[in-house]
Amino acid sequence: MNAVAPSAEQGPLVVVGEIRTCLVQNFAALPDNFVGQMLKVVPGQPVYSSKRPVSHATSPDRLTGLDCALASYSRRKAHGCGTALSHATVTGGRILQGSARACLLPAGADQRRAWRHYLARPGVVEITTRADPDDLAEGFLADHGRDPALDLGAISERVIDEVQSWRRLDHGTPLRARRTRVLWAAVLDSEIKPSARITLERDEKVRTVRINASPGDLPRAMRFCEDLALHDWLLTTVSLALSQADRASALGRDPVELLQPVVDQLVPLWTPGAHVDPVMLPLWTGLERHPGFTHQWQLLVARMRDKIAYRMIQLRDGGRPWPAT
Amino acid sequence: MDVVFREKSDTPQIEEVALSHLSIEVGHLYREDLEDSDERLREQFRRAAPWIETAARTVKSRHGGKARVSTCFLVDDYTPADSQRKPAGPPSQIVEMLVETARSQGFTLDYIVRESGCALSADKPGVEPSAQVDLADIVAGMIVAEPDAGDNGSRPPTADSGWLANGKRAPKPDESAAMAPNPWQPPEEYGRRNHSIFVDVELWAKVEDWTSGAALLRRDFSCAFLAAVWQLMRLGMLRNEGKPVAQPYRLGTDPNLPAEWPDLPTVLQVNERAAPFSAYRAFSLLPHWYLPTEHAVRHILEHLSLDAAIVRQIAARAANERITLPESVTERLGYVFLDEC
Amino acid sequence: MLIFATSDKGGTGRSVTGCNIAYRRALQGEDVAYLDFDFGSPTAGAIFDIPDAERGVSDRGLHSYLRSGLEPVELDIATESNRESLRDMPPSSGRLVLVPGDRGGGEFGRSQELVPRCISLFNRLEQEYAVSVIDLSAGRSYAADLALAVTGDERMRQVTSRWLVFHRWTRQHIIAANGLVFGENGILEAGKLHGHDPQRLRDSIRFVRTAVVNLEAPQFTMGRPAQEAWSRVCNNDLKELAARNGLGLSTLLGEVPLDPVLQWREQIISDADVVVSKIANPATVEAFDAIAARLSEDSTWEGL
Ligand SMILES: Nc1ncnc2c1ncn2[C@@H]1O[C@H](COP(=O)(O)OP(=O)(O)O)[C@@H](O)[C@H]1O
Ligand SMILES: [Mg+2]
Repeated sequence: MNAVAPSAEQGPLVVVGEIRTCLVQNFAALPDNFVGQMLKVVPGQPVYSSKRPVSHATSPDRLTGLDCALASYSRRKAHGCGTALSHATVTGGRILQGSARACLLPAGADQRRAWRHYLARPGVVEITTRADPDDLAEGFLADHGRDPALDLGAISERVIDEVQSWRRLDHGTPLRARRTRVLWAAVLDSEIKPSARITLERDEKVRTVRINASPGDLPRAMRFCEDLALHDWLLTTVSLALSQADRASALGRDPVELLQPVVDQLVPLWTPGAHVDPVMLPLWTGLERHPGFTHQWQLLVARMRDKIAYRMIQLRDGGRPWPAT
Repeated sequence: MDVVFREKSDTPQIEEVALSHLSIEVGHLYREDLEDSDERLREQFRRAAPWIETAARTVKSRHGGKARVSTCFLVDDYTPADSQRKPAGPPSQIVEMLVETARSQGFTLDYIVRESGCALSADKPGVEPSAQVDLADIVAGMIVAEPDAGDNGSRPPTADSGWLANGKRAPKPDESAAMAPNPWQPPEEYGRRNHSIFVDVELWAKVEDWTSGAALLRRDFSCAFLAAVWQLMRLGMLRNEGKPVAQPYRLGTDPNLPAEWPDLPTVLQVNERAAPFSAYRAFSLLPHWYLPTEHAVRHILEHLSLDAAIVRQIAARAANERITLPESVTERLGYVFLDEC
Repeated sequence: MLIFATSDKGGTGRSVTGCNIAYRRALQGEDVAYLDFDFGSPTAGAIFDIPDAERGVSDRGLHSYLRSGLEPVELDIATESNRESLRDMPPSSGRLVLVPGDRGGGEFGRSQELVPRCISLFNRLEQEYAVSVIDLSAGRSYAADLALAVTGDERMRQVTSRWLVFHRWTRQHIIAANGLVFGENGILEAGKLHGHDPQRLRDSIRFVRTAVVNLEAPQFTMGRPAQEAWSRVCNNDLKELAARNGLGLSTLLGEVPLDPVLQWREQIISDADVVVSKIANPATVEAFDAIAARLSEDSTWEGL
């Protein structure tokens, strides 16, 4: 389903979203045809997929009705009514994302309208109060505490739950991973120079991404954020596995058990920018310079491989520490 | 400027369906009523005939002599598995009766549609149930519940209970504040002006289906819900993964109809030269006791998220033909509720 | 791995022992979640010394999640607890998280949503935590029935779930614990109704004896000889009674001695309580530690 909003001559648009990323609850990576069935959450609507360089599939969009306060950075009161769009994506049959977003547009009226008015504008939340785009974007990003004004994360979470209730998953857990949250806000303006900023928040599971782009780039900006969330999750999960492996070694247990599935199942999925439109690639390039995503990744993967190799040598030498002292 | 969330390359091809200017529903009766005698049908068609003529004339005066108008009749044959309905006679008899009765009242019937085909649709005779398109499911998947004030996404919308309301239901006495002197509180229509007209419509009942040996939950759809599917079919609003559904099956000169109702295609074209079945607007001539059903239909339609690509496609085609179409599909529906005279 | 903590009666030491086991398991290097499903009296917040969650949280607890789908909070013990020993766990420890109950409790919503909701929750925790300890309330509670329904669902068949039945070391508690597992409407019977394989379910249940009097304590060995002798007779009788009731050594996961600290206060016993302030007994910590380790020991959980 396409999401279209009417013309907005009022100036820059704000789009906000939250992406939750986790592992597909299955021992092995899911084959493409399974992914296709699992993501068929809206009858009559197709699942989109592409195969290269890693398979990637997106479920049809769902709508959720909203009538709530909106956060603003200045704490000025804002209120909106409309719908959020949400879908799920699966990458490499292994990583599942729930992604919800809404476009915040000034409303023509200051009262709630008939429901069909909002259904004709899927993914648009009309703001019945006066609000500045930057103020709304930054307000949304800052509002990731326990009781957010607009809770797109909960909508993403429910998409994940719904997808995973598919009967044919075995619900096995090959490796431990945390669910991460990426909140993003894009200000879309034809006058603006494209840029992205990622912040690791104090809550370890939360990252916020602020994007500036031109209005035509909205779908690409969303894909960029999903791709960013996915790679950030990979980094988080691999770091977690490494620290678990360190703990295991310290306690005299075999770290390879923890690391092997990570190396086998996650390392091949590192393909930053592969599913991102070329227009958005400069944003990736920027993040590669700082904080240097791929560089971090390579270091982590090398550490995992070293640990595994070291353990293999230990085992070959009859379990004695190596090099022998 | 448009806000589009999906890349162009991802957009599925939405195939077009042929559209008339107007689709006229000339009646809607139970299959049994037709099998018993042609009396009710004759009466319905007698009352409908002048309106059909008026409607066709109006369309032609606005859009020229070549304006496309088609007529259709809906046979209610939907049978939830455990309901006690009379076994059906051969469809050919009813088809002939419908065509002949229309002719005797001075108009041509173009399409005969079976209501159960609005739940599971088929384009041809004899399609296996498993190969039919779950149209009712597709429409059920479009329902978006209206938010209550304060809904911010944190809580899931109230579950799939099979009912759809246009407001906040009255709290059950035990849920309201304890010890209140009068525990009853009224329901409230969302966005009401001063007073509420609260509507709560049953869409389906969940029943256990034991046909496969184990209990599976099956939905038995309400008449109102299937009628909503029917109106969307008439407005050309439904697709299955971009493909047209329930396309008319041409009976041809040598009618070789299946002997059983469930083997009929959903839409049977009984007039070789008929204008397209679906149309920009739909007009229904119904007995007056269909008023509550049609009110429920409009209520359901106002809670559907229609495929935006289809909506746009039809709007663009209408604009091409210089037809003004209201944004909302419910405003494309017109009725005359026929009285006894 | 899901560990369901239950008991026939209240006041058996289920919550205090459960929390201590979770804590020990985290010290053993694994990420652990503790879920307070005791909707009648959610006390885990007090045991972990989290001021805002002493009797459950004011909103977004497990109860509101089950009732309305509101995402539950996860309280990281290392940042939320007032106790220094819990804030400063050694670097080799895993994370310890409390998913608290709600203060008020209250009615549940439509029951058909509970099981899928619970499955989502357990599956999510399973992905993140090596062990989740779920404190069910005492007896044949609604929470216990829900847990059986959820673990009996086909979507949970890959998840290891184990049941710990806590009971005090007295005649009545032994008989009651037997009833809870083997009796009418007991765990086994209810489990069967929810699609559990009776043998497998039986093999996943172990008993934990709490606040067991230590007969080697000076109170006995240095007290009146008659008292000591009588106590030994009682203890042996109980052993026999336990064996006859299916609570013998083969189904025993561990035994926690009566501890002076826990007699006074519901709390986590840290190593400092044993080594530095010396208020708690080393045997208590050893018992918690051993039980925590046995949670995943295959030899302990082999079929009987
Ligand atoms: N090993 C023990 N030694 C002494 N007292 C204990 C021991 N275990 C628990 N207690 C005490 O028993 C009481 C009941 O424990 P609690 O965990 O609240 O029980 P439950 O959760 O079964 O209701 C508490 O006061 C607790 O401190
Ligand atoms: Mg307790």
